[in-house]
Amino acid sequence: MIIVILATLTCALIGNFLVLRKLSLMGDAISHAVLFGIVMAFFIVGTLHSIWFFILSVLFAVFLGFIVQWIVERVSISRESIIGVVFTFFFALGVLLIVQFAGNIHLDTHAVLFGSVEFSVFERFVFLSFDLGPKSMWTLGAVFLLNIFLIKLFYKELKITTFDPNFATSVGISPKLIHYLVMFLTSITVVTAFEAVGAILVVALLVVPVVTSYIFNKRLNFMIGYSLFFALLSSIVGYLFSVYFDVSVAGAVAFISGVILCFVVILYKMFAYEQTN
Amino acid sequence: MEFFTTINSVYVMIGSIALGAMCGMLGVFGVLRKQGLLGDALAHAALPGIAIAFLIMGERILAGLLLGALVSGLLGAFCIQYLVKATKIKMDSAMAAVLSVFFGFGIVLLTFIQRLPSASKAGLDTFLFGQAAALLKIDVILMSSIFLFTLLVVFIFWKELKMFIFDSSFAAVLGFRSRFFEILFMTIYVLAILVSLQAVGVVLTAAMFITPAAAALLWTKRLLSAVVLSVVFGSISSASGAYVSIVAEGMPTGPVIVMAASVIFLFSFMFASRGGIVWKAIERYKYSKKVNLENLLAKLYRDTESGVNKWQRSDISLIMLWRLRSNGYINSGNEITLTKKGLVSGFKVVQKHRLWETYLVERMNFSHDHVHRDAEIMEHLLTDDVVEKINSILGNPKVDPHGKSLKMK
Repeated sequence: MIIVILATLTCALIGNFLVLRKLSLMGDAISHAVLFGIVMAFFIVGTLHSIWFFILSVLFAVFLGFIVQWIVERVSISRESIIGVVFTFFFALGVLLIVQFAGNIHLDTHAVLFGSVEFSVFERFVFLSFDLGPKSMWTLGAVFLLNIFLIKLFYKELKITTFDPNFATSVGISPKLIHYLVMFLTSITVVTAFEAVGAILVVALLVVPVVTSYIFNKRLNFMIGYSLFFALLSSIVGYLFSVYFDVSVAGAVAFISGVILCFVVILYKMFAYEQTN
Repeated sequence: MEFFTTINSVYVMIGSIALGAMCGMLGVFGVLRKQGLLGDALAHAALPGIAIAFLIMGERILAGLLLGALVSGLLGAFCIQYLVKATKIKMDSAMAAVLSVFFGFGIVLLTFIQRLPSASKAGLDTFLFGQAAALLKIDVILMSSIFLFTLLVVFIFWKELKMFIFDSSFAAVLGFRSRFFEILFMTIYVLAILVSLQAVGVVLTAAMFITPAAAALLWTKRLLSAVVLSVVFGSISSASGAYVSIVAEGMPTGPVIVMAASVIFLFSFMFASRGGIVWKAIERYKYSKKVNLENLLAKLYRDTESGVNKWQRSDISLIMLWRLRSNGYINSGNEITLTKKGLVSGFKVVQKHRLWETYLVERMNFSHDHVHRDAEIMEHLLTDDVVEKINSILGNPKVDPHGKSLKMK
């Protein structure tokens, strides 16, 4: 449960900037395409449990962002179509590689897509022979802290480049650099979180709580605050829901976050309706 | 060929080609509307419908499952439209939100179904990754009829669709009911998605719509030719995907189709007449070759002006010597001299340079020490017509601002 909460909070935090920068689908793309990165990293490192495996996956995700940017700058086709072309290519390649060469290893597409929070507790983080709890909890925690730290450090820059890139350039902040910072944080978040919770939940967590809070907030810090709140709410309720009905945790959390979004939209419409009358 | 001996393979082949053609056709419209990933979103959104239909029917009847998928796909499309219209949420976030929530719900239902003691449940998994090799005659008939239906719709409403894509406000002014076309478009889109779910699965359906269309749009900017090209690309990739998946045991169809489509895209990206990076690189190379040659000719001409008209072979690199000679600019012997043609060509470059400097100083009030760099670029770009025009504007000047001659020596 702590894993789910940590994952939702981490994703929602960086998700704010993705939504505001119209990069929501990049999260989707990375979480699918990284399958290829994971397979390659597996071939190179030979295990799923080393730090190198993690680093290679993150590197690949960052590389993906570069490729998309590189192609977008060279053709007159909209960014989201290029994202679609690139991520499906790598996903397909990843699936083929698994089918061809890795039929017997512990890497199945189902776990990648839907995640297996249920099983992540069995992988313990052992330090000096003390069992310190599930490993994903520690990695997620570390990434969460890293996100908080970097976002706090560059808060002003992020804010300015998100809302007014031209002004940012004129006061000497490079929007391009900050763009890559966001992509880097997204990559590292997606890779860590989706190890624990799967690709689809990552997309849900990146976007849905943020969108929910985006509806009625005008100030960035309130928006972030509410998005964290919605993330927390959907992870707790979703977890309980999944335990009660004995269904997929990832799916349940995504579903509950959607229900919350639905509620907020309805409340917002009612409220807005009353105001206009 | 052995491959065509089984009647089932023929069905699979026909079905895949119909599928590729249909997705390729519709994909162009999607990509042009900047909603390429709509296919992705709606494919995910169809999943809960499939699961619910299965729960209601209790067994795997294709038509029923597709009906469920149709309903939930349309519901997803409606949700996306509503979120964008009613709130300030942008299109991409709305798609991502609907995609993940619907799919999450679908997964919840699937995990629920997996615990049911129903034997036919295994079939639902094929919707996630697709299995074209398992297509039956009835599926293919369904696919082909949906393909023909969408073809008919696109054919009848061609003009309207075109206007709707490129200028929806203009279409509204002319009195087209854009709402009607929005719904029509969504419906045929969802229909196509349903069919492709069967063959390539949820995740890769996006590629069926985007990749051939994006590749086609690299070659042409005309809607009709883009659609035709995209249909061709889609059919080729589907056919090759289906072929591999039939011939090679255990190869999943969807990924192979996507790989084929991606190869076509990559090829187009490199070679397409518009924007192909290979052609751009060649052009850049040719230009830099021209610039180098002209710079050298200009230098030789300036040397001539100051009285030097013979050069040693060792003064000039071998490759440049070869280029000068093959263009007939120099007489080669032990010592090199410029031919008449070489002299004139060199003069032209120098003239363009100096004339441009003069023009900048006289007409644009640049100071005379600020014009060299600009002229260095323009000397390779100005055409003879422009030179004549500038000459007459400036009244045939004899010297440039630095006091150098504008007349040939």
